Amino acid sequence: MAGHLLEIKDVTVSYNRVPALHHLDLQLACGHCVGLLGPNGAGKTTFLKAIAGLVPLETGEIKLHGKETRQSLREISYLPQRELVDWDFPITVRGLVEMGRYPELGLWRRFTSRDCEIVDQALEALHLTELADRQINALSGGQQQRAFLARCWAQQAHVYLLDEPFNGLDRNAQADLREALHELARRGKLIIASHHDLKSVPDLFDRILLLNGELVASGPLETAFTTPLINKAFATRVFTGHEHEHHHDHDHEHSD
Amino acid sequence: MSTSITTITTMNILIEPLHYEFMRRALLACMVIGFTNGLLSAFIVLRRLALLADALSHSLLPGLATAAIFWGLAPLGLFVGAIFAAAFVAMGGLLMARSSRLKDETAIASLYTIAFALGILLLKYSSVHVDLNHFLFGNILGLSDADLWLSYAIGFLSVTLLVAQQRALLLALFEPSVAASQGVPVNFLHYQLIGLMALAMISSLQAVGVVLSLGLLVLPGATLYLLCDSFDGMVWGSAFLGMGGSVAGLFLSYVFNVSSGPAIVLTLGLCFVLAYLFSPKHGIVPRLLRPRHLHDESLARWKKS
Repeated sequence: MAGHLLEIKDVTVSYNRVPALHHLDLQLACGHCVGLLGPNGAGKTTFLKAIAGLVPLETGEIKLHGKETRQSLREISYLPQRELVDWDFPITVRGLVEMGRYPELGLWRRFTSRDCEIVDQALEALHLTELADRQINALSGGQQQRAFLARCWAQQAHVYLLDEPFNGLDRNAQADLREALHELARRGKLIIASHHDLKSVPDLFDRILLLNGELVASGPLETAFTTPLINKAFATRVFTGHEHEHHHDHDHEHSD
Repeated sequence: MSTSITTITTMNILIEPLHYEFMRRALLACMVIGFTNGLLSAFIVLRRLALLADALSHSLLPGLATAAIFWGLAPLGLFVGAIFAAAFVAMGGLLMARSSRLKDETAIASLYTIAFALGILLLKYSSVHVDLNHFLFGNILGLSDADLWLSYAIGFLSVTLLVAQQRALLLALFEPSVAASQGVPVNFLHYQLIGLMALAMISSLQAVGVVLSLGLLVLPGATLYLLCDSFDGMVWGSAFLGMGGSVAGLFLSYVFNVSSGPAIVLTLGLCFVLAYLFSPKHGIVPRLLRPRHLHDESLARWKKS
């Protein structure tokens, strides 16, 4: 079990030389549903993208089961924000889930019965078998999220990265998605989801990670989801690591 | 009796034109160009490149004009000129957008109008007499051997690449950031698609001209987008619609003795308008005619009680 960890060691990510994440050091055990919390600009999306390998790391490394994640991209899956998806795209739920197999298949290899089996299992696991032939726009919000999770399942991913998955979902859809995520966690997957509604946190997650440009807290709700820590994450200015060098700039801003 | 006579006349209409060498050539060209452009159109519509395609089609003109000045009307020269002009506008536009606060559609629109105006002026200095109409509206009945070989080569290249990369393209078209996280070369595929678009335009230039080549690259994809909900269906449907529409348009142009370019584009246009109106799922007429109940089940339940 000791190997079932996502290890983040001394990770810094910068945009145009301004760090968005500053020397992050933490470990997350698989089989949990982790809520990623922090104010706007705290680097939540950057954190997810860094794990997904979508942004270069300036320092540090990210390891899953003791191996560099960048060498095993298949095990990491990233779900985009709902608003970024073109829901009119001509594709059915089954077609969407089949896409999860493509990275394995490469250019020419045919879709085998084994791939079909995996797709069927994914649909089954997320209760989508009956909806398989629907176009993705003919689904409810919760079903749409589940369809994307099924695609990650078909990819045989171990870590699920979700960017604001509960955004714009009503209460039923939210409960639907929560059930799906907890089911995945029970099956040993690691779920990391950014989230901004603090009130619903205890209902949705069993671990949290408080970010504010740097790591504020990480762990079970009882120890990490406490008022002082939340205040610390949200009350102070987002830490950019440029406090001293940019002192003059800030003075100018004040005199303006 | 009367039906058999009609059958015979219909057959005649289809067979008679094929006695002419130029019609046989035109038919072959139509099938190749229609299929290639149709296949590409599915990707263009899904990637929302229709406006960029428009810009590219206009930007071919200065390239053709420059080539005509230096090499006359040699197909290879025209080809090279057109490629350079298209690359200049497409890549230049994207480069401008990345290096300034301009958005790409503004940068590309600025560049292509400049290029088009330049092209019209340059045509004046062309050593051979070039009929602007020929560039603008094409002439599929006057295709040379070299023109035909060029369209075959372009058709072969595009179809091979698109079929080989179908899965990667689907991932990149549907959700670029996720595709990138799965190791798909999203940017490369995007530029390659633009490159193929420029090539396809050059191949259809002789057939339907600069302006109408856009129709072949957008209409089949747009029609199928309204008709079907599966990616494979849309891709192959567009290819066959492009081919069928081009061939039908060619025959119609022969029968009614009108220019082939507009006839082809109008045939495809008719399919598009019909799909917009009558597509079973997404057409506006079935939508208006559908009962105002939200759900079939609720209607059934309501009728029972």
